[in-house]
Order: sequence, then structure tokens, then C-alpha cells
Amino acid sequence: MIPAMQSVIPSTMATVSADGMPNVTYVSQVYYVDDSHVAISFQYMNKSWKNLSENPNITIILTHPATIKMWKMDLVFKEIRYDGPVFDNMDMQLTAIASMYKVSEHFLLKAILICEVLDIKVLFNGN
Amino acid sequence: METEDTNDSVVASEKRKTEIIRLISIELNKPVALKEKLNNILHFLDTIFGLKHTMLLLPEDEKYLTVFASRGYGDKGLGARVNFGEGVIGVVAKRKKKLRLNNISWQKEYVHAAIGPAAQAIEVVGLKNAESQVAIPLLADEKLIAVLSAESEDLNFFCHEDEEFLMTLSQIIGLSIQNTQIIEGLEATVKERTYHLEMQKQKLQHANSSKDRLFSIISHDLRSPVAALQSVSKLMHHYMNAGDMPSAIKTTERVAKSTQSLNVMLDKLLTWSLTQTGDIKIEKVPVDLFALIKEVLGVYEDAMFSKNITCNFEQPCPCIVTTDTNACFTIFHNIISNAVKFSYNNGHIGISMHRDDNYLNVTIVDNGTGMPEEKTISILTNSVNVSSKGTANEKGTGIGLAASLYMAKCINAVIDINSSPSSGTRVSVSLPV
Repeated sequence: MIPAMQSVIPSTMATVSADGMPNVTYVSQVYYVDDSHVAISFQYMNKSWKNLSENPNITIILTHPATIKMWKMDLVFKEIRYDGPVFDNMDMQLTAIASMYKVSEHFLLKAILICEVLDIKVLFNGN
Repeated sequence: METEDTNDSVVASEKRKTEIIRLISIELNKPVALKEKLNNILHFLDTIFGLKHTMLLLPEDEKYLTVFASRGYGDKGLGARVNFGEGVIGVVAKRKKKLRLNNISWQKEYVHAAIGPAAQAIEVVGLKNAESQVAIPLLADEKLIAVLSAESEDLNFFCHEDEEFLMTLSQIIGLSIQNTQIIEGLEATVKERTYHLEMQKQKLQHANSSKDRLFSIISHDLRSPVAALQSVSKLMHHYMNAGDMPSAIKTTERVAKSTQSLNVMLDKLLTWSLTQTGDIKIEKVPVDLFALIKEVLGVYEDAMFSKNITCNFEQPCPCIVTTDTNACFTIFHNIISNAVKFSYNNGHIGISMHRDDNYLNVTIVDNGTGMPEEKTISILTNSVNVSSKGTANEKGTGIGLAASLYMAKCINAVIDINSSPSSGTRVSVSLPV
């Protein structure tokens, strides 16, 4: 499922506040870290970040770019990182894309969210 | 490039990779030009590994990269530039880290939407509609040697293993490029050093032939005054024994003449040796140029008298300059000696001085034999120094003017010569005041 983590179709991320109010947003990158961890790009999150500070559980839906196979991942937020090899790689991808426009300095990766993968379910088997 | 997760396909894939590494290693060891090697490598990546669009870019001044070898872009692209920090290749070059991007058009859409309508796309070298790209920095000792880029119009064309495999290849290719660059650099250094050695050799040969010629002339020219001294001393001895004091006193004048010409000859020899070793020490002091030239003229008084040459030299301006006395002596000795040497009987030498804010200009004009333009040029450029006999068969060393030009350079003076066989010679010396 690594191809699905390369953002062909934006991944959808859901978080929930302490009082049970859900929030759904798109994330540009879900990055494979190791067998039990992924990293999520932190760029435009206000509500999600507020929710995560109250409740670390995340649900993400990934779609395979070619087959449209879909997975649902249950994650738990572990830490926020502002540097390191994983951050560098995700930042480099974003910078490379942004540098194709004349305003790359405005489009920076703020941080990455390291999450532990609790469960993965196939939602749709695809073509 | 995604492989089925079966043992057969894994084995097949590994076999292909081994084959590519083998072919590339053979290719890199061939004694052919770097460009040809790299083109062949890109050919293998295409035919065996299925990479249809690849290029190798070399960095220049950490500012931009130039496409050095490419495949799958037709004739376009070679020589194209990518700025550091721009696009996938530029970012890889800047950060010296590999990068694999898939689904580029969607990611661009996302970024475009995030930045807003102000975002203006820049021209990127490579496929216009690339969806996947891997770019690998080729490093040696942390130094960026090149960037290898592979592109595809397919979504998710490159997988993690492809990237790892390209990394392995890059290390081999990077080392080879660096070795070639080192060898090419060494060849250039050897060429440069050989050129310098050749130049030094020519200079030494020139100096050696000058020295040989000089010694033959000097040994010849020294012989006559020395022989004269010998016979004169015998004559003196004879007159003294005979008690003929008036004749003995007269012969002392000839002794003085012989020793003077010996002295001039030795001076020239000393000056020449100093110009050859570069050991001339310049000591700037106030010099009365009028008095100095008068003194030089005194040396040639007899010679001018014997050729009935008239000389006109007046002092129209203040002529104290801060310069080196010995250098001035050498310069004016040689110029005046030439003027006398090449003047006909009953000739005329005129010396005039003119001073402006920066220079004192001394002009020495004769109506002697003059010389053709080519000879003037060869003297001024110091290309050959050949001595010519004077109008009364006076011999020369051929080093006089060369030494004068050298001395002039040492004191920032400029010597200019205008001469023609019909009208004689005009030499002007401009000395900084």
C-alpha cells in the first residue's frame, strides 16, 4: 500500500474533539515511516491540531492511485517533529513541488505528526 | 515498475539489476570519453530497466546544473540549465539528497490551490507532463558530482526498490565521473606544466645563445684594448729606460683610453648579467639628468671628434627627476653610443628636453643610417638582439638596447624609437618625475 501513501488522491483525515465533535480534512502527505508508524504533513491544521491535543485518535482513508483500492487506517498521534530525516524527506518533496512555482518560500512544511498504526482495514478492493 | 510479489518476479528483477550493474561496470572501465560512457549507461537503463526518460546533469559553481547526457528527450534538452533549488533536480542538487516523487500533477494541483491564484509555474527541464520522477545526487566526499534523473508519464512509476537500485548505480557512476574529471584535470595540469617548461626551455636557450654570443664578442673586443695596454706598457718601459719623459707621458694618454674602453665593456657585461638574473636594485634619488647626459657625452667626445659629429644639447627646463642613477646611465650610454656609432662623418646629434606635469621627455635625434621598421619593432619587442656594425665599422654587443629597455621598465620609463633608413633615428625617453 506504499503507492497509496504517495498522495495520488488526497488522503482524508478525521479527528474528534473532547466533546465528540468530528473534523474531516485533506492532508497532502501520509508518509511510510516503518511497519507500525506513518507521518502526516502538518500544514493547514487548526481544528485538527486542537482536536489532537484533546484526543490523539485519528482515522485516515487512503486510496490507491491506479486501482482505487481504499484502506481505512486507525492511528494514534504520538509526537510532533520539526526536523529529522523523515521531516527532511517530506519537506523536500513539498519544496520540490512548490519550487515549480515562483513562490516556494510561502509553502513550507511546518511540522510532521508521527502516528502509530493501530489497525488497517480494506474498504474497497478496487479494480 | 511495480513487481508482483512472487519469487519468480523477484528473481527476474534481481537478475536484471545484476545484469545492469555488470554492463555499467564494463562500460565505465572502457577507455572512451565520459560523454560516450554516460550515453551508453542511459541506453542500458532504457533497454534493460525500462527507464525511457533519463538525464545526467553536471553542476557548475553551485548555481546551476547543465544537462550533460540525456535519453528519451530527442535532440532537446542537452545543455539545458536547471537552477539550484528549482524543481525536483534543483532541490536534489541543493540538498544533496535523493528524491522520489509520484503523482506530480496532483501534488502540483494541491500546492497551486494552497498557494493561491498568484502562483506562477516556472519552466522545468524534462517531460512537460511527468507524473513520476526520481532524482539522485551523485556524491563523492560530500561533493556533488552530478544529478541523475529519471522521469515517467505514468503515475507511481518508481517504487522504493527502483530508487534504492538507482542509488547503487549512482555511486558507481559518480565515482567514475569524478575519476574522469580528476584524470582530465591532471591531463590539463600536465599540459599546462609542459607548456611552462617549454617556455622556460626557450628562454634558457635564448639566454644561453645570448651569453655565447656576448662572450665571443667580449673576448674579441677585450683583446684589442688589453693588447694595446700590453704594447703601451712595453713602450712606456722603453721610454722610461731611454729617459724620454715627454714620450712616456704621452703614452699614458693611450693607457687611459684603453682602460676607458675596457671599463665601458665591463660595465656592459655587468649590466647584462644583472638583467639576466633579475638582481637589479633600484634606488630612487634626485638625479640631475642634464648633468648625467653631459657626463655620458664626455665619454663619447673622442669618438664624435674623430667622426666630426656635432652635438647640440641645451638645458631648457628643470631636469631633476627622482629615479635610479645607474639605470639612467645605462639607458643614455646606450642611446648616445648608438647615435654616435650610426652617425656618418660630419653628422649631427641633437638632444632636447621637455617637461610636463608627469614626465621629463628626453629626445635624441641623429641623421645617421637609421633602420628599417621591422628592426625597430624587433628591438622594442626584445624579440632578437643582433648587433650591427657602425659607420666606422664599430662593433657592438647587441645587448645595449635590450638592457636599456629592461632598465627603463625597472624605473617606469618609456623608450620610443622612430627610425627610417632615409632620415636617421629619433629616440625619446619619458621618465616619470
